[in-house]
Amino acid sequence: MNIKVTLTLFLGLLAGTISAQLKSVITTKENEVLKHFSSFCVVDQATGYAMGKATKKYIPGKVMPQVYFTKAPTDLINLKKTVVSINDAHDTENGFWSLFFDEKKKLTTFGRRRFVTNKQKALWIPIIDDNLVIFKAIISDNYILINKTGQYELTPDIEKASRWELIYTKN
Amino acid sequence: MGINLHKKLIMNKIILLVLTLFNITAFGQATVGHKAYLKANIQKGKYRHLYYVQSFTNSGDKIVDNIEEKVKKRYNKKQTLNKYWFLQPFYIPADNAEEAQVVISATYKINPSKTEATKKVYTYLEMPYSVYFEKYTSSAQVIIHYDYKDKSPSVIDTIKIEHTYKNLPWYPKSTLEKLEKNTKEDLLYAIKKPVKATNYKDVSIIFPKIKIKDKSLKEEYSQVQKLLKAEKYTEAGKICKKVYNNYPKSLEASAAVGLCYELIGNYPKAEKYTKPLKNFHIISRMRKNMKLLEFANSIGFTPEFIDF
Repeated sequence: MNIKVTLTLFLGLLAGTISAQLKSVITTKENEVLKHFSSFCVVDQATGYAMGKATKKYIPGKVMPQVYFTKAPTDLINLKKTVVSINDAHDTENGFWSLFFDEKKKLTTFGRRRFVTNKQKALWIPIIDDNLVIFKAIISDNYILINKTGQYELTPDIEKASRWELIYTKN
Repeated sequence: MGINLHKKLIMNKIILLVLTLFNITAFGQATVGHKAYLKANIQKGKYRHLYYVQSFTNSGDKIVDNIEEKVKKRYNKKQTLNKYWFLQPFYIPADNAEEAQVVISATYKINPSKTEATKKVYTYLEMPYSVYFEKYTSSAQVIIHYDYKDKSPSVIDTIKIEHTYKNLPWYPKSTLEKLEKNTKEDLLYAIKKPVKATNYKDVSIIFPKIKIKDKSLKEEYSQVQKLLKAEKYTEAGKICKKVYNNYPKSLEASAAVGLCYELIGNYPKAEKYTKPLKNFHIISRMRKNMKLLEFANSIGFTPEFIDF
């Protein structure tokens, strides 16, 4: 066989195996509309709760709430950091549900939105801590925290903030 | 273009010829002269072999239902489907073990297992995500005995089948039960293959050539092949050891001693003496032998080793 052909075949195979393993963490806007989510089970390390519109204690191998991330165009917000919105991957019949920052109640809740939005309330900065992720709101210096009963809260202290593990599962 | 193609074809033929020559002259490889064997048997008027499949013993927990009957079916099917029956000895089933020329029996063990979940972290655009996966393995180990009525030494063959699966999210779903089922099916297919009703008198074992200066010792070493044909393995081994003692630096002499040990089933010593030669064929065969020994030990069979 020609050397060029074998090389291309080999490289193709290599690329195939790498692409099979790597999963895009961000779901593009087009894929979101088509409901082709690149979803993850996002679990808090302290309490063991999985993030979603309805939180649930994480049990490996069982059907768990999953979320997906969409990236906000940073040029509009005038930020250099990557900014994401966190969305529920299961409850999509009545529009998309995103994690919002409520300024009055100083709470975070999953709210419904009809269209793709860049509302600053729904945008979060992921901060990487070893293999875990902390989410910080962009309009205030608050971090997402999940309490022992599985409800979302906000904390200004980064050390108290929930550290989330993104788990790639089948369901 | 035409000339180049012609040259390439000739080169290919030469390479193939060289490869086959190497294959034939590999040290310690047993070769069966099919044509001579068939001729001799046809002259005797018995080119058919009667075989009988005896009960298979299970040394594990997992059972293959009616394994003997299924194997018998496979053997019978092989007879009708085999296109090259004229190149191989022809087999027909016997009604009982006494009537048969070859009695086939086996010990098998099916072992499904599952590891604990292991974690692997990937990063995509600086965002880390983890994947948890378990490894399923389902293996089947078989030792098949072929006992011959013509007093030639019984042949032992081994089969090892292993199916592995990692339940990674990007692979289609599978279960341990599925793997177990696959190994059981593969086991039945694998057992039908090795029917070797070889008469050991027709088997020639190639021994390595050793540079011997002493004439009397050289003559003695030339007797080894005859002794092997007469199944006097320990006597052949004694001669090889004598040569080795005189030429302790000779790798070939060491390998010859090892091959004699292999023929009498003393695999640990065979491995020790054949190791210095670094022959690929011998090393791979020794590895198989040692695995067979390990498996025999795991099912509670400890063979006694003979020395010379």
